[in-house]
Amino acid sequence: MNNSMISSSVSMQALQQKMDIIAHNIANSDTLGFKRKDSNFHDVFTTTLRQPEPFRQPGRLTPLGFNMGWGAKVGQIQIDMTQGSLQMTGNMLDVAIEGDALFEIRLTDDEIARNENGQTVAWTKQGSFQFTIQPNDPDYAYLTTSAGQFVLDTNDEPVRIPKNHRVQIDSVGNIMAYDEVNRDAPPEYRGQLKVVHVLRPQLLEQIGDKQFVLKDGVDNANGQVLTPLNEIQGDLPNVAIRQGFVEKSNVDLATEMTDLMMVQRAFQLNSRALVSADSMWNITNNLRG
Amino acid sequence: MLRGLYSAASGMITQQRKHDTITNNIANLNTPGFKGVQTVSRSFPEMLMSIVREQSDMPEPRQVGWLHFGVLPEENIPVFQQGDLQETRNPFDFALVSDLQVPGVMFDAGGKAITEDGQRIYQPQAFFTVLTADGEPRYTRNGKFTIGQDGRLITGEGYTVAGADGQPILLVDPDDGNRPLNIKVSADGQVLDAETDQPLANLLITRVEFPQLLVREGQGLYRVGDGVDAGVRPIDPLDPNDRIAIKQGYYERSNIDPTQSVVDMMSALRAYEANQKVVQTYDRSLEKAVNEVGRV
Repeated sequence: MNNSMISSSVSMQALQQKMDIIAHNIANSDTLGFKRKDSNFHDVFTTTLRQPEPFRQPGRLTPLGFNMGWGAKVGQIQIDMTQGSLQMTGNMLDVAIEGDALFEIRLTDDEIARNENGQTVAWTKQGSFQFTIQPNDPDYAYLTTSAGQFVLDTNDEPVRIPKNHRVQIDSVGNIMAYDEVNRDAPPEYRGQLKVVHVLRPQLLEQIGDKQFVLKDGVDNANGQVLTPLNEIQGDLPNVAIRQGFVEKSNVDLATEMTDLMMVQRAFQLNSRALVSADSMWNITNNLRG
Repeated sequence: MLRGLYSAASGMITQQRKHDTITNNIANLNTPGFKGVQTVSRSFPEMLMSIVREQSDMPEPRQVGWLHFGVLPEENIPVFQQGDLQETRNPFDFALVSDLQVPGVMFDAGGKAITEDGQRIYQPQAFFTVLTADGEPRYTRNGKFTIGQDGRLITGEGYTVAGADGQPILLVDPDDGNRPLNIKVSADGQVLDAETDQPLANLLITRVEFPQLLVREGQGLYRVGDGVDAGVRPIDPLDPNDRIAIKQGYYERSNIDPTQSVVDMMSALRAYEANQKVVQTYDRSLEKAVNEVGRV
């Protein structure tokens, strides 16, 4: 009875966790740039009851020892980096990436102070940028995310545009600033957006719902997790920058609802097993009297 | 005491173990690569019963017959039926479809064959091979792999997936050290760079002749016990009996059937209850013997 009850309750906890992940995905089915999470189960360790030698009888198939399992737990939780669909907004500061790449942003001073591992940069796919004026540099407008983090260029410097200019970003991230006041002036080249290609999404961790950082202890010194696009030799992966578009969430409601139904039914089945174990215990308690 | 009391108690214990095993099967309904387990019970060895002191002039007591004195849960046998494949389109999910043959033997749908002289043969099974931290091989059907930091192919718990020569699989181009942007794996386990079709490594698929002799370790891993010969050898792609297929972008679901499991669970519960009634009946008989026989 105890084994049954423990197996069932452990598995129900695991199913509850999976339900939480699915609910989080569904809640963010409209969040721009959201990447869904995926998880799967593993069986928990197995104990083997020792059986002495007289148990080795003719017709026995398995080695000596009685195997008992103890349920299932949630194994790896992975970020699914599938491309979401692009939606045209017409806003010149909305920039979407088509392909397996991320923008590099510098965290705000508050966030850096709160960070325990000293990371100062993060990556994001959400390209809804805006202009922010820094008090110590009033002639320039800095390109930032909606949370105020600076967007970096290929020289690891924040992208800044002179005031009263509009920006045009081409498909590899080159930024040209056009003077709104003096329309005949030639466009000014303001650098190239730093876009990194993701080689190992499994080693990234999602914080908040918008940005990715390296998992603790992961080292990107040789560019084995993320590589800046302009430093890749050989064939370039298929990445394009699209100004005026945003990338929608990659959550597919049909898949999530199907998973949710499966998890609910598995939960129900496990609770039936728990009730059955409880009946057994009841039978034992009523053995006498 | 009355012998039947202990028989009934042993019956209850056996049904409880059966119930535990079925519950664990149900718990792992969604675990990739899980193989269900069946409990097999066995009667206690028979004992020859004799009548005690029937007549004082008989040299030996007269024998009545053979009697078993209970049942015990003997072993938990894994059932290696192929699980269904589910598509995930994740390039690091692999499903192994295994249909290994033994010359001259036809296996039924449950993977069992009985020869003419009554011998049971179970179908050999194929497994992915992974290495522990000490380099010991373990076998699994859970093909949900991922990449470690140094480019090795690893399982979800961090065990290294073994390549054809028993070495870790490094997803690095041997000529220029570049990491491939994407890999594709052929049906016989060859790992290629998806862009250049350059071969990088081969997955080591192991054929186990006697899969029932494997020891189940949990976390989806099986190992060969010390001193046991389970007939382990790598798959030979040229051997027509080694029929396997590896599907990239799919994983193998557990082979548990929920309906069958619930029916078995109900049957274990009712058998438990029946044994309880037997114990209660013995109890009432003893109560009569103690309290009512010889009452004045």
